[in-house]
Amino acid sequence: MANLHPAGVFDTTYDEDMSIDRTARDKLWKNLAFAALLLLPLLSVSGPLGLKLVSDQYISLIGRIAIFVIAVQGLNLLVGYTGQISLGHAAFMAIGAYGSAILARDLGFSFWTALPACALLTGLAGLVFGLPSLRVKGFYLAMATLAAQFIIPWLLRYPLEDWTGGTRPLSVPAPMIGPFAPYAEATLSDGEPWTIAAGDPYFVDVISVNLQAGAGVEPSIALRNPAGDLVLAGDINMTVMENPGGQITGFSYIAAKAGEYRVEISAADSAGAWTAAATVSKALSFSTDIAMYYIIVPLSALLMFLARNIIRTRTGRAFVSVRDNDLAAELLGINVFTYKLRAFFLSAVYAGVAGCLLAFERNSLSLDMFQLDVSIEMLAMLIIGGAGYPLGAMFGVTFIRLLQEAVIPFARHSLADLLPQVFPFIDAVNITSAINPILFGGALIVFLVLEPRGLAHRWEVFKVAWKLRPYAY
Amino acid sequence: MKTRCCFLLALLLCLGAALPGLAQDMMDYPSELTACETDMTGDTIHIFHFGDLSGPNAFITQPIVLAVSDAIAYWNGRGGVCGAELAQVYEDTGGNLEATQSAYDRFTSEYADELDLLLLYSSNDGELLREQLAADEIVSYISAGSIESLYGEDGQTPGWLYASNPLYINQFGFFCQFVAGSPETFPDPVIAFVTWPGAFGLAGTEPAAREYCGSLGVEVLPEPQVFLPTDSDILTQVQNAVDGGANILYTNSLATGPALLAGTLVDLGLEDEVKLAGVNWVMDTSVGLLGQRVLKPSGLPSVDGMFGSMPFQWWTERGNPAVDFITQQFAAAGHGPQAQNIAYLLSWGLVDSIIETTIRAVNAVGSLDAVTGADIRAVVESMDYSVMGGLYQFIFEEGIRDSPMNRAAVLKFANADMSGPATSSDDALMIDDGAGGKLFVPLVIPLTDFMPVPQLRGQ
Repeated sequence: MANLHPAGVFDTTYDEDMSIDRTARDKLWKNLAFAALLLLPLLSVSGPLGLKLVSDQYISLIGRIAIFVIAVQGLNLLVGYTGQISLGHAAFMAIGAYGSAILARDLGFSFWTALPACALLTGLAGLVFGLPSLRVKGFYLAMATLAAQFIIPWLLRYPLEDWTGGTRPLSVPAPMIGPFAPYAEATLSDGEPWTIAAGDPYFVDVISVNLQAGAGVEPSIALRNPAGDLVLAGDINMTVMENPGGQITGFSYIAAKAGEYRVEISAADSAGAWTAAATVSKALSFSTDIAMYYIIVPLSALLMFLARNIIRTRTGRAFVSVRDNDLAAELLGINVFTYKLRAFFLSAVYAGVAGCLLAFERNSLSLDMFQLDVSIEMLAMLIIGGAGYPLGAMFGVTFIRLLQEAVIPFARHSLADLLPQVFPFIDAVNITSAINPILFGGALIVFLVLEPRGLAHRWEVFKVAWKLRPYAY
Repeated sequence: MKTRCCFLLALLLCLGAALPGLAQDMMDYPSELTACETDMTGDTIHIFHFGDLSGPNAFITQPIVLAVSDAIAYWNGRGGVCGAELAQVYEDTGGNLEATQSAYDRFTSEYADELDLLLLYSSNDGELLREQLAADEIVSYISAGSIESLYGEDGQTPGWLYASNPLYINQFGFFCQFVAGSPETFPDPVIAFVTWPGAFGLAGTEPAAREYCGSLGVEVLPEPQVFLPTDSDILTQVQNAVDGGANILYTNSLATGPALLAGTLVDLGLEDEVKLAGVNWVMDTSVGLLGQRVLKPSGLPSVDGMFGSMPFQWWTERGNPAVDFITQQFAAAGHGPQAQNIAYLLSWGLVDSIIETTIRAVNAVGSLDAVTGADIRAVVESMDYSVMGGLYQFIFEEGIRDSPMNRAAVLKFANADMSGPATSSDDALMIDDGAGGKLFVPLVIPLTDFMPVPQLRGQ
């Protein structure tokens, strides 16, 4: 599609020719759209302003869309721009998800350091599974990348079971900034509970207790939440410290729910043989959907922007030449193999970031989240959105997710009442369960027949028509 | 096959209808619900549930919608519960975790003030939503959850999900108890898992379960043999297990899984040497029907004699008020016979549990609007309630999130006069399948009373 400018706008420099936002108006609209996206959670029911103008469901939905936009944008770099098909993208997401979860849970990384580390790790895995692209392409390469979809989950499930939990789900802590300096401190004594009024979903209170006990003295430590329930060691917000002998030496608890928390320490026969210091600090938590939104959406926008810029570089142009004719590209001096590998690396990095965000957004990981159907679904998103278009990933993911999570559920409620009356000879439960697949499959078929080049192409057509108005022809 | 199944189950219904219980007028509701202290006229009690209605487990879960609909129609036709109407809000997730998250977000957004109690179908959904349910203070009822969904990663941190069946690992421990107590049936027992992959399939393969069974004198082979739900040939897995010394094969699989396992044993000529067993799902009607594709030398279906758990009453246990009532309602609703399965039976029980919980919570706080998830949880943990007068016991003491009781049972096929199990095809009840063939009629026979299950989680 021609890169048309509004009437009267001419490129007179190379910078102007290369600019993404050629006019101030382009830039303004883009910035306004981004600002509106950032303001949306503030208007939501659970937002800090309590305005209740936007349902929380849509904030969560946009967050999920943004995660998959990152993943599909990575696929776009590989499939859309470099012409290398991949059926193992969900497995790369799994590496990012499990890698970051393990780094955060077991190796003491924060989310902020785990994110780039796991992105790099996933990129390296992408390089390994990109090696077959030297010798095969097309359907054969698709089959080779399919191997990633089988090998990676198998590795995560069995050889790495001690780290990943295998088939069992893995809890993932919420991202946090802090804790900052303590704002309350206390020295605890036997039989005298310490009560703290704490808890906030965004600026959480981190209650920490450090215990020092004499040899042979094992005081019991208990924390009770505002409901009066004992907080157990397995609580996702609780971190228990133990010495090498397995004796508990303290804990750290993230209090997100407002109310009174109570710390009790007692050692029945050894009063005075221990000392305990307790502190409470503030920390910025990203445990809620709204808070995670402010990580996911800006990061998604940034990675979209970077992807677009990559395509405008020497590397990007090499990708496109490999896609269009790899023999011609080689004759032009492009090292086809290294550029294919670079595309696999970048694609996997994007998948790793998306996987990491998915893990921290869900707070729970399972290998069922990264099965082959997810890889195929992402490929479908890209094709529907428009492979090889910068906005293809965004359009494709948004279309599919809105169809699945907003349009079909809305239509289904009406159809679930209507269809059993229209087809009384079919069991109602069979009709009910068939509505989702029929509507989803039907919509995809209709769409692909009417717009086979993707939504992004239609968007480009619309933009050109708009710029040429009123002389569309 | 579907036609045959339909015909068989239709005939089962006809047989049921011939029994004296059904010849009488419609039965009264079988349980004594707590008396209402607050009139809820004008209110609506929503029953929220979502799960896989169109995905791989749909053949088991679809009847949940029918059962909940029937229960709602029953109650609303009698003026509701304490004057309040019942209504259901449900969603099909197709077994996809993305869709599960989406459904949960939608429910918690649209029904933020009402959603205090949620029905879930699968362990995977429970695992995904465990922390979110706790954060949002929403109690969830589920038929059988995994350790991680009910008790967290450490197996010791109870959450907000409550399961009406025992944990699968506890069911396996219970089976070891049963095996150890039945040396004549199981001499020198060695168990091998031949099972599906995943959290459900591999439940019970944990070292804690193996050690517990070992302490009872029941050896469990350490390496499970795994097959996929789509596999049609598991000869290698079965042969590996038998070569490893196993004389009992245990499976956590559904419908086609146990049937395939049983058929393979018969193909290998090992049906007399090696016994079969599994979780409560192997007792389902689907196993009894699918297991008829391969017959033993006695002429009976390959799954004849398969052992399993039966932690609730079953369709064939006529005389139990809950079973009789549900059977009568099922027949009256005129559903397709494929719906007469575990899910339909248990869903009536879950609706009954929701009603009883709600009444108690409203009695405690004064109005339906004032009830919170914390109130529901407090009620749940104080209840000792016989669901529908005897379908199963609803009792969750502090810290317990799964049913502590279980029974051992065996899958058999009815004899010609329906007085007990057949010993061979000669004395079996054979019914016309409507396609020129014959079908056997499956029976589930309890072998023990309800007994406590061992608690093996988190060890």
